[in-house]
Amino acid sequence: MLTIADHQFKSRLFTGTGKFSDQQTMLSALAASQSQLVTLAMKRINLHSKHDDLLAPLQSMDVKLLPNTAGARNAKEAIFAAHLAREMLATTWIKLEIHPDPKYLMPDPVETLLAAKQLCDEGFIVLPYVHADPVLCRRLAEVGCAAVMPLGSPIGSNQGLASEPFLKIIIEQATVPVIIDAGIGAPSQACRAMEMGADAVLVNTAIASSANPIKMAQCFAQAVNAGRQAYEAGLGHVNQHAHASSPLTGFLGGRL
Amino acid sequence: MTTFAEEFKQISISGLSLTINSCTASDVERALNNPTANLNSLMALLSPAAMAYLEPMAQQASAITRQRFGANIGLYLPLYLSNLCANECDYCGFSMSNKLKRKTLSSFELAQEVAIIKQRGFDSVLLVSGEHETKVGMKYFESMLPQVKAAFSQVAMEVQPLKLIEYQRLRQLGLDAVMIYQETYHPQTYAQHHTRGNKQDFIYRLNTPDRVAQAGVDKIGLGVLLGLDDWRVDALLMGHHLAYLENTYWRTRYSISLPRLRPCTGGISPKVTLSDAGLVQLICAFRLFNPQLEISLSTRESSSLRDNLLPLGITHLSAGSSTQPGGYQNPSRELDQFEISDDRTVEQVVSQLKHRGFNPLWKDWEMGWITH
Amino acid sequence: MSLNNTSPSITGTTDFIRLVLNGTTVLLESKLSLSRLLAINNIDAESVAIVVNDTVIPRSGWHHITCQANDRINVFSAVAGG
Repeated sequence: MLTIADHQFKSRLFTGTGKFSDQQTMLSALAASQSQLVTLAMKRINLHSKHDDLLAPLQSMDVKLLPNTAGARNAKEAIFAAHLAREMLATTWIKLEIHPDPKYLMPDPVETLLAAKQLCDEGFIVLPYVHADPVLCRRLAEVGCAAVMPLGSPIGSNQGLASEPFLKIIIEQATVPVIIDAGIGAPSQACRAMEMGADAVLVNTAIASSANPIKMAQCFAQAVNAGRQAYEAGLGHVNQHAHASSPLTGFLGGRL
Repeated sequence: MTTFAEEFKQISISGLSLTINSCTASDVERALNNPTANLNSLMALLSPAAMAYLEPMAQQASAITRQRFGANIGLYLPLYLSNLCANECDYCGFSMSNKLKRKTLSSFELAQEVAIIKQRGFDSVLLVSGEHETKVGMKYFESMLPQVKAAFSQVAMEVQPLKLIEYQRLRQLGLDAVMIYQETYHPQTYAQHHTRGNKQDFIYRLNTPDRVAQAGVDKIGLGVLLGLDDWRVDALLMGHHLAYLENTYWRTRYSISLPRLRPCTGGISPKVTLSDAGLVQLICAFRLFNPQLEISLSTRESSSLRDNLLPLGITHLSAGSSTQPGGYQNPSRELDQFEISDDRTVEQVVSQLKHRGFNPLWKDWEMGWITH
Repeated sequence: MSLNNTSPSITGTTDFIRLVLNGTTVLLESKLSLSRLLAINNIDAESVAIVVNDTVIPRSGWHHITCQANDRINVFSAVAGG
């Protein structure tokens, strides 16, 4: 079972709540995904229009809520957002994401490390969204982050694991759970991430923008499960046939 | 801050010993498919079952080594500062009860040794001493290190375990690397072989690489004396130690040495003999486990074996070594720490390296722009 | 309280005050607590956070901290997001 900061998760599929056509579809898709960690954003209330209550139905689903700092463009704003989330949701968990660039929403590594350090010092459970940068992930683990969330490809792009060689290094070096976030566009890509040894994946757009989000959520659940099982079982080995001639060990002369 | 000793306490050595001996051929094949940074794979590759896979292991290890290090083989020479020792270790010629002439190099004698080593072309030295805290301690090291550093761009030390602040001080004086060999990771075996002196403190020695890394020394060398106990399990535990260090102190470089127990004055014979094939298995297993790891090979091994081991994963080689203080100026064998098997001159070794397509590297690099 | 203050004060005596709530200027009776402010705007206190003059106000203060003239008060809630 996956453990992040003493909290255990049965499912290794984490989901976002954005981009669904309506709230009922979103709730049904989340239920179908069996996800136990669900992200959400925060926004100033519009006093003059009725807003859907997002929290009550989510809270009745027995999922852990992970507020994010979306919209923050620097460390100061992200820290502010974390404080806001703590009061709003009575949680110290925070998905730290800082993107000063509105076009591709690329995470800012410098501001993210600064904010992560301060929030960890204040006792937050920090899960930072970052580029697939192995050194940055090391530094974030060092300042106390409970997990790291490197991207597979640009957020919302459905391009899959474009950063695979770097994700492999991050996974190999990990001292905290690695959650592949952003860019996963198909169940096969989620499965591949899990086969590589990722601890979890976070999927939003690929489910929400499917013609049938509920069915797609089920598919992701199965793919993540299959990928994890394959990782635990150990991927099938390539046949290694010992050669009749032994150019590198022939000097041993059969002395074993 | 946690140390390796705390992690080591969680490891069941008898459990590992049982598991490694029950590894199967399919465990080895799976490990060959996924060897890197995987301690389960390392176990399979060190297991008796992997003896049947030496050639495929060697093929992979050789390819990975060339990919990472090219044709380069770094050359270094040990420089023995002193054979004084306040320990009793039954495998070592420097043990305090051994009747041998004790000597610690003066500054003048050190200059003579340095001049000879320089003249042979070396730019990388390993300073070695026995463990005598009062006579060959920090005061001596602080006085000698600048003299050595002025002559060589890479200076490593293999001396008694020191304190954190002492490593910090030596680093300021230009120290590049510390070799600290646990000898064996079996505490009971360790106690049997280390019967007097500070070296009896197993845990202090075990935590020494933590202190070296915390002091910011660039490179740390681990090693076990193969033959004191079951070498497969000792090597696997060293793999655990290496994995812990790499994860905790990821800014540091690491090397290993794989010395086999050699005859010495008043010394013991190996309890568990390691064959040449076993040594091949060890080198290949560690190379597959860690493609970046530096692996050095000393003159303990014979010339023909050293030549054959070269392609498999070795990155650093000593040549024309003397293992006694003042031994380059006054070659004689009676003060040796251990017997030398490969007594070729450095010219002969270099010529053999070139013949086999390797590039002998005298100077690796120099941190000249970094003020220590 | 003045705009320069970074935290709201619990004093203040005028009968009606003018302040900015979520970007809109509103006229309110004085000595109104933050909890009451939410209630009269039909906002469920369970699911929001309150920021007064750029400072996040802990829930524990919502009952006894009162709105002051010229305060800039913002109420945030959770919304869907990834």
